[in-house]
Amino acid sequence: MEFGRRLRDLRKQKHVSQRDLAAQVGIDFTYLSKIEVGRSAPPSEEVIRHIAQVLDADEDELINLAGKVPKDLKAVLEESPQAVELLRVLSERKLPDETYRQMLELARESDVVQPGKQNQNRGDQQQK
Amino acid sequence: MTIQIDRYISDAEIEAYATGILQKYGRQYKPITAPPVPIEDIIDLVVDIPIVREAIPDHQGSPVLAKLVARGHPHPVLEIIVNENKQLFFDQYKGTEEYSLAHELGHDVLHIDHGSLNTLLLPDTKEESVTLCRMNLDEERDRNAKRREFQAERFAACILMPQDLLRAACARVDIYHWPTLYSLKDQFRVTISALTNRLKELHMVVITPERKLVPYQGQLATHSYSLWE
Repeated sequence: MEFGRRLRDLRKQKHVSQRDLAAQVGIDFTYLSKIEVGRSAPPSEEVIRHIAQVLDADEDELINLAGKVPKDLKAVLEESPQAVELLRVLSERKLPDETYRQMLELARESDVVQPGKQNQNRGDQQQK
Repeated sequence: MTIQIDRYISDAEIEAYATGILQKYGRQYKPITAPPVPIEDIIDLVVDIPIVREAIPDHQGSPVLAKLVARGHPHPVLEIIVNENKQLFFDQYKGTEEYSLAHELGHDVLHIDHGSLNTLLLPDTKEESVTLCRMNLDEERDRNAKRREFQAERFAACILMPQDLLRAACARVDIYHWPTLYSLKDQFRVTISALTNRLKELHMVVITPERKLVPYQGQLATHSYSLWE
């Protein structure tokens, strides 16, 4: 689904008008009207996250639909050619969910945690 | 292939369409118990027509406030485009934006054959969008085009000034007093001419040639009305 269409659906589900949403996230409602029908490109990642919070929606889903790579992941991809290669291999294959789960576990068991990501990682594990 | 419907539609039918949409909004969101009618939300959230703000070039030398278009291949969808270059005009003349929106909604409700929408834009059509219900200069004598415009105006009046809300608001004030009407038009977010036309249609007020507001007085007033107008 396109970003704009999904955004419009989410907004309508929450009974929020274009003007109200635009005011809450600090963008012009005329700009929002164009985004929703695909006449303007999706907004910045920060604005998308803000929109997701207001609409109680999945931030990552909207960011993906907008064709954007989240900033934290972008940094990893820029630093690690292996990470890029891993994603490329994954994109070429259809793996079972179990394989993904095992890979995630393996990654989480790793001793080396990126600086500043420790708490977030621990939070992830606790949620599981 | 045209998807436009041209037919006589009675005032009662137009009013019924407008009332039906207001009731649907009331059921899905909240009943409208006081003016103004939230026309933008009704179109956006209930009728589900995207409202898009973008520049609209003049049409045959005349400015365009809003228009109804069909866009997209192979399944076109309707959109109401509001001319973003006219925002100052809309801000200055309160009620004109709401009336434009309601007018275009009127075209959608009364004049579009939604079942045939997919036949409008053929897959090999290069056009990005098709403007619907537009009156061209060479069509000015076209009875159908004029009638469509009249019907859309009527619909806009019915949905922005529903009889129950208007009668209730008028019952509490002296409507034969111009400042009162100016206050009412602000409450309903319509123009003064839209309000007075609606009040005249409902036989709630008559405006004399001297611009005096007087009560409707049956046969005599109707007769005088036709002479004055």
